[in-house]
Amino acid sequence: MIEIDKFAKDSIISLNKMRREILEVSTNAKEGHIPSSFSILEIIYTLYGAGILKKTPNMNDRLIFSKGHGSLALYAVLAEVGLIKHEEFHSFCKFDSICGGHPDKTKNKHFETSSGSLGHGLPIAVGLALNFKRKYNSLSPKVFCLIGDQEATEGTTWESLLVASSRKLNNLVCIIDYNKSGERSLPVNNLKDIFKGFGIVVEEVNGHSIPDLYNVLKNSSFIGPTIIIANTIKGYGLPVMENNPEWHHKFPSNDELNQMLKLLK
Amino acid sequence: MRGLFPKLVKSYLDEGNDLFVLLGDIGVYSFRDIFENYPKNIENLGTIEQSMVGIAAGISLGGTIPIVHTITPFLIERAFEQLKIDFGYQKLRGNFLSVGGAFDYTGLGGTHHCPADVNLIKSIPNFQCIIPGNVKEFEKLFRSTVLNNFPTYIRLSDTSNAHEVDVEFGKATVIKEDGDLVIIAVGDMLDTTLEATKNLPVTVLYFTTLEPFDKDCLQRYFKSKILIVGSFYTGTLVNDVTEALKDKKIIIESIAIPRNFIYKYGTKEELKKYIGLTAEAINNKVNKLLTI
Repeated sequence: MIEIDKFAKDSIISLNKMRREILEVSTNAKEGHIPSSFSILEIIYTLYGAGILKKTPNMNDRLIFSKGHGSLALYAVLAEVGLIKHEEFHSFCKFDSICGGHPDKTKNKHFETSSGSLGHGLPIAVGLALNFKRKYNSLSPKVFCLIGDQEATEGTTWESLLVASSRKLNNLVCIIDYNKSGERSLPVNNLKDIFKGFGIVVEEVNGHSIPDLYNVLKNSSFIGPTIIIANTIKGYGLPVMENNPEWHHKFPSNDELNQMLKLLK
Repeated sequence: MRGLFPKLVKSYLDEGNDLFVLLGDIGVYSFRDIFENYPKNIENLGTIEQSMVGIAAGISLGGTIPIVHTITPFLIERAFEQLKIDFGYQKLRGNFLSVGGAFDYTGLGGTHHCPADVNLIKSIPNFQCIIPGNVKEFEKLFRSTVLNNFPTYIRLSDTSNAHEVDVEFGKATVIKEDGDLVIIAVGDMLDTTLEATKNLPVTVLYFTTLEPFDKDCLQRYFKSKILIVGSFYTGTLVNDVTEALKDKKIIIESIAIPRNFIYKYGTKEELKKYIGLTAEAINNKVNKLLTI
């Protein structure tokens, strides 16, 4: 059993290190979505680093990483926990790299799906959960799916949730990176109530707090299909980027990079 | 073909194969035997075609072979990006069986037509594409592909050829060989083609697998002229022909469905006459090509 308070304390150093690595990798490649990745870093690190995702010979939990724009965070965490090499991460978006702007399932077994086009991941996660539930019932692996709040507006989100609710997929946990990206287009104020109306268990959590994420993720599922609304800040960790749309797909100059790296020491 | 489909699937389940059927609220009654005997291997997911294909991808990722079934345009056109990315790009296996051919539901109008299906599926690399000409061919082609490692589209139709051909997946069949005009007759258009070319000096190659396209057969029999006859948009398969016959001078024509919406109802025969997909039209075109 992990001591979460100790893990959370230790993770401050790791998270800063990963944010610095993301900045360097993205600046070097002139590609990637830095603020989207900073938004989800704590979520991904809790899943992999704090032992939420079970990856043992007897249990293979899955993460359907539908929010492909945050790929830099996924690669940074996979490199940090040793599932891919740092050199592979640093080859980001090079011709023969396994690490692209969006993860590609065919490149590495730890990239469970190919993402980039929004609204594809949750139906895939529902299909996996449906299949696992019929095969393994209460011993089913958990299927986690990470989507963005902008992505949640896709019609397939609502279609899939109907299936998850109707078929009582209690092995499915959908995490919404609620960084308010959708507010400039189709703002929804009562997302939690809408999801509850589908008959789904809804939890809300500070998406940058490792202990809070750990507690809600650890206790999630097997009561019913679950949605975790993770309240996050796009660009979290660097004030200049936080909630600043200018940085959505932009890369720092060398001077900017140096200043940012200092802030993340 | 629709009558055999549930029985075929059940025979695979009886043998212990791990298949999972997803229905788009179509043919539900005809699958009642599977609902009764294998309730964990079938779901009617209603009208969520895009998500249904995505869910099928998840089922495939979990090691089970999905079979997805609904009406042609809703399966192929509405859920196209899921077919392309979830199955094509991710290299997953799965089976997609449509119903309604290109325009079997004549009384229901153009929203139920889908003459673009073959072009769309063939635009997805490594997606197998099949148009069986009758129920025996369907059974053989289904058995050849259902368990393999590729995504496969099979178009089911209520039109059946009386002419019996021992087809083989991935291969064209030579029906007759004469003269320098090669006719590529596809699926449900074989009987009409043979009726139109009776006693005429033509070579007829019968295609039921459109992807992979049997280039070798075409290269062997090609002389100078080609006529493509199929119940799909005109121009379909032209790229396959030109790829197969690089550096050759080809005279190529089609008798197929014109690239226009069809704003008519009536019977299938009336629609075929209206758009020129008839033995008479084929006969006229062949006679014209024979004089060139």
